[in-house]
Amino acid sequence: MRKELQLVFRHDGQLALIIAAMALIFSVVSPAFRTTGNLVSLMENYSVMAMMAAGLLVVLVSGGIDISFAAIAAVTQYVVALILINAGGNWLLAFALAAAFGGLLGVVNALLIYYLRALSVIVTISTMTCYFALLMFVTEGKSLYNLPDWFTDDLTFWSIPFPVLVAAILLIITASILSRLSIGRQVYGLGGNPEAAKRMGSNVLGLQCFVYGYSGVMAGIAGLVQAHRVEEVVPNALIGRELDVLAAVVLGGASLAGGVGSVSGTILGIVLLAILQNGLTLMGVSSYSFGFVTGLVILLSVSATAYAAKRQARSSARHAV
Amino acid sequence: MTDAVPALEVRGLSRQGQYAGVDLVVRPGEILGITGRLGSGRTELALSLFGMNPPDAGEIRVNDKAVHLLNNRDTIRHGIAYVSEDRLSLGLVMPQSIADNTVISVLDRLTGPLGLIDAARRTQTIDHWIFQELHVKTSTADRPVQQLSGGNQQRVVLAKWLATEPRVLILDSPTVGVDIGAKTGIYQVIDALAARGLAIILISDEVEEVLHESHRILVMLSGHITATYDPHRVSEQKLLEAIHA
Amino acid sequence: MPSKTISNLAGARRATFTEWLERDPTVTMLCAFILVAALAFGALTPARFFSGETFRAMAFEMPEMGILALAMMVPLMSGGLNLAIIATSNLSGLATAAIVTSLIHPSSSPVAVAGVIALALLAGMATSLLIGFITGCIVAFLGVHPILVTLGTMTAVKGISVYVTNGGVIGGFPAAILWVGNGTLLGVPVSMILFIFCAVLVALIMTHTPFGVAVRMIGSNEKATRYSGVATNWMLVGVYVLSSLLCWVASIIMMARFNSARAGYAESYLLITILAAVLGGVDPNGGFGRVLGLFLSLILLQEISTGFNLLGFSPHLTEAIWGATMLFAIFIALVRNQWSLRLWRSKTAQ
Repeated sequence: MRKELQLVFRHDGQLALIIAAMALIFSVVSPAFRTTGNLVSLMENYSVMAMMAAGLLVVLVSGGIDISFAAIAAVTQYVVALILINAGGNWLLAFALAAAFGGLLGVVNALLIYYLRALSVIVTISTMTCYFALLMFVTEGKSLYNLPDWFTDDLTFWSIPFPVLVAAILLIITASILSRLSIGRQVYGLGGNPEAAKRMGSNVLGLQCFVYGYSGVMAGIAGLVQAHRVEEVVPNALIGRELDVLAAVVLGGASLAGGVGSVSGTILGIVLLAILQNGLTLMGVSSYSFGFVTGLVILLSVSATAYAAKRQARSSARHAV
Repeated sequence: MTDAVPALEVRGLSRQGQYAGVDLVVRPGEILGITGRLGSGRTELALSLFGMNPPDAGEIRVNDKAVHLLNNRDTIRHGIAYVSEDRLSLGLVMPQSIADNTVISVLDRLTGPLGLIDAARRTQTIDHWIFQELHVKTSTADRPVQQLSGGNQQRVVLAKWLATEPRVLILDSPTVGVDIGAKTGIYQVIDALAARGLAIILISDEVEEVLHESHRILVMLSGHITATYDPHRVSEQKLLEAIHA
Repeated sequence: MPSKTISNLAGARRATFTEWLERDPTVTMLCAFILVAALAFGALTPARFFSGETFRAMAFEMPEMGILALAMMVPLMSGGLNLAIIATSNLSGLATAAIVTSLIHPSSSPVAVAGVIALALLAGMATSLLIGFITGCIVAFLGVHPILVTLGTMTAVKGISVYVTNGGVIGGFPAAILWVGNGTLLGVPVSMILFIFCAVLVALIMTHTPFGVAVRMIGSNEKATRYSGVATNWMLVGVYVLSSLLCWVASIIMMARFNSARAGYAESYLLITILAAVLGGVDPNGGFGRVLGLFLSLILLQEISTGFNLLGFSPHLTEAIWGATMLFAIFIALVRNQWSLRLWRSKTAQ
């Protein structure tokens, strides 16, 4: 376990260095970058993404992938908003509804993956399509504007914007689950060696329901907070962000193979992408180039990780006997 | 046999952390047994002879010509074949057909002018090795190979490698997961192959097997060849002691 | 003893009809569904479904989806996935479109036009080749999971497309190009001829070339295939190169049919290509699949799509149904695997 911790620190350390370097460059090139206002607003912008990333991280660690979280967020956002508009409520109710509905949609993923014995990528692409298309069909693409005031009013706690606070809490919860709770260890185990996990009697169905349900819960809350931030519910606002979130999580050290990944890495991954995009914007680079930059960053990052893993495997083979 | 040019000769082969200073010679028609504990370096040595584990030092000679094995395709071209100890995940592609598993290593030799596989030659290769030579018990070669018994699966593996027309055949634990009755059948096949002039290296940690089949036995311990024995003049007891020294 | 191998074409003629049915339950099932769907839609929209116009429309719509489905099938057979096929098509189309629209003027001579078109097509092909080669190399030599690589290339390639066009369109092509998408040869759409040609080519490659056999074996077990002396790395590069080349062909048809090229075309196709493949019997885990199955499933999907259109279904509803159909297709694949297993068990001859 210690060796894995070392790897995490090394990876996080490298990321932190890159982030520091980028931050330095951007601060010099564009003074607007390093103002508190900019940084706070940046954190607030990416808080929704951070929540979704936390959910996706758990799924990746378990060895699966979830492409439907943005769709879950969109649907949950709409459903909860409808309820709040028509039946009233408060924040507690809002969170409970978002978590429950999102979690439910997530558990559907888990059940399909388990009982159909299918690849998670294909199942979640299917559910994503279903959820989102049904949403667009039912809503005819119309947004919801008349959200209750208590919902849309700006909230800050000790000058921390509400979205950032929620993101921070969810990230801490995720980190605690993964590193301290037994279920977290089982999730790592399932991802690292699914055969062994089955043989050891791990309840695979239960674990799947947990990870995909968790991803759904995170997505649901993320959708809720997004609605609060922009003060309206736009059905197709969150779609298309899936890749950015995946990029951040993968940058942070999670692998599609499963068994690796950490919240700290994910946070760094998001920070890296946020600073990169923010810096480019402040420098006047067209936002049309973001796609290319993000894609390039993904490719470079996964290539570097894979290459490093290969070199490590080769050198440990040398010291086998 | 002793006058023939060695099919395979190894001098001073070393790879850090795995084996060192390995010398061995195998002649056509000879079965050389190599035995030793798990971790003695036997499989690593075998993989080096097969071009998949490049050594740090030493020389490999095929038919008395020094060769530099870049990868296993190179090695197959030099006439060396390797039957892995892990039949289930490395020896065969389980979900695929017996037929495809048989010809996978020689596909390039079965193509016609347009680069398409000549169906007649493919069928002929399969018929020859699967049915005529190795008598694999199956009604058709189109079934997934995982449906066969362990012994028959091993015959398919042998068919695949024999189709490459090797001069040297390295067998790594060839009867693991094969029941007693089928084991005898495989020994018969090995003997027949040796009688036809193939040089065979038989790696196994089953001492009886090595004693029964080999013309000469090498003992490997912690990466070194520690002893050579004549199977007619050594007891099982002595051999076991040498292995676990 | 005469061999009973009937896996190659030469032997197929000797198999009896029932053996053929049993041998490929997928094909049987698809044929049945196609028939049922045709009857159902025919009953629901009597005058319009069984009309020449409908079949004409279907024949023109199918090819671009079909070639993209082929582009998805090849990586699936190798045990991977190519999520970048649409992005690759669009960028190739943009490259071709850019050259054609900037170098061809109304006053250009036919020879010049032909020359520019050839150049433009080459540019499109080179774009696809490059993307496929890079993808294949990262997958094969660096060992990165194809999903991640192709997500990365998809994002990057789309990014390039958007950046280069500022999100806009390039349009207005000469008649020669439009003919590919809208013309007919002896009553059959040119694009359909292209599609059938590609389908036959891919089928031939996958079943009758060393490359194709190697790809299927790699799909089931890459390591064992490598241990058998196959250059699996280069095979995998070849897989993504072939996939991308098919994207290039699809891009020509799309360009021709839309008379324009842009970054975001056909994005909803991605799911449908995977659906067509899985429904057509391609195992998403790799190693198995037949072009015939893919072809039939494309016909079925085209039927359903046209039928829904005629019935006035909203495109969103249709898309939701595709998602559900994919899940259904996986369910069918599961049932089919169990059935095949039971079939062989009952016929066991050691």
